[in-house]
Amino acid sequence: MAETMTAPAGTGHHAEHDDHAHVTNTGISNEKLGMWLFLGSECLLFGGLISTFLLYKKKLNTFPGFENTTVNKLGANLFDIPFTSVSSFVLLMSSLTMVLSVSALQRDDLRRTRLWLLATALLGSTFLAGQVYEFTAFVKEGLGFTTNIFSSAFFTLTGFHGAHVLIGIIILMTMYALSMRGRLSSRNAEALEIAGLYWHFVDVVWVVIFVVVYLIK
Amino acid sequence: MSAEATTTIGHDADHSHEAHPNRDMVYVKVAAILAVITGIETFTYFESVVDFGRLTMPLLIVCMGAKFYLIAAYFMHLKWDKPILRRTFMVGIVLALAVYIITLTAFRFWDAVDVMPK
Repeated sequence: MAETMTAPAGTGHHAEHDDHAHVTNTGISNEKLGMWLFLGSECLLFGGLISTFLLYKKKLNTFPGFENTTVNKLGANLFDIPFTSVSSFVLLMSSLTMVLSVSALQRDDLRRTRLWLLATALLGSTFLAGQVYEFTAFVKEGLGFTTNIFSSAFFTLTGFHGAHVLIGIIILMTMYALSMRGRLSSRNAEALEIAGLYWHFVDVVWVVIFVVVYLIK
Repeated sequence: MSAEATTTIGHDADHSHEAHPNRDMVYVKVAAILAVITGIETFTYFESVVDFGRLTMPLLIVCMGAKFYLIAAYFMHLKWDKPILRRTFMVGIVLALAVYIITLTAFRFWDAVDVMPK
């Protein structure tokens, strides 16, 4: 059905520049719709991890063998809130640089696109470095992955998020490499926009984790 | 299917510069609001500085919701994109919320006393 439709007026001249261009009946490219569907499914993944964390956090106080022990005290008390707040701020600002990068590419400003892309990757790396530092500090304090159910749920949830940030940084650097090779321009700005959607989603998930895991006592 | 509802892969429906107005200042303002909200959230943790009492939890949830909305609406362009994308994302969120609220209820998470099997 989609193949029989014609491109709307005003877009035909773009289609003729792109051998791969074809029409969709949703009005949205399949890649972009696919990314949104993927992000919708990611909500379920992180929802499961957050629910598990909440259940185990409550369970910690009554877990057999851990009542009133030193290990039991090793939990939320270890959080360094000012440090995590700065990390959250860094990740939020990376969303700003990401959207500015997409905006610059849509205006065909490749210099600023690359600059904001690098800034986003740098901010993401800073956040990730902060997470590694936090994990290391926890382990030094005696809170390892298998110390108790709280720590297992905590490391799994934040670790999964960190893995998503790492994948995001790899995608950003791939986009940067593509732009250096002249394969990124306003004509295919949607590719960067889709990468940006993933990055913003990672940020949105952290917004929830920051409150649910770190701030709610 | 109307002509307006069609597009080409790799391009938005209208690719001209007019279709991509410069919203950089909007993004900067949204980021500033996000930073302020994060600051408020952080302060709620330090009761010796500001004690919101029973309002702490609702305030945190409102702040979280506001940040979530601002990022999704402005940075992810849901405010300006086609409604189908908004619906797709909302389905994922609502489904996740429903499934996990039921799960937490099944495990008696909301009970004041822990009654989970040991």
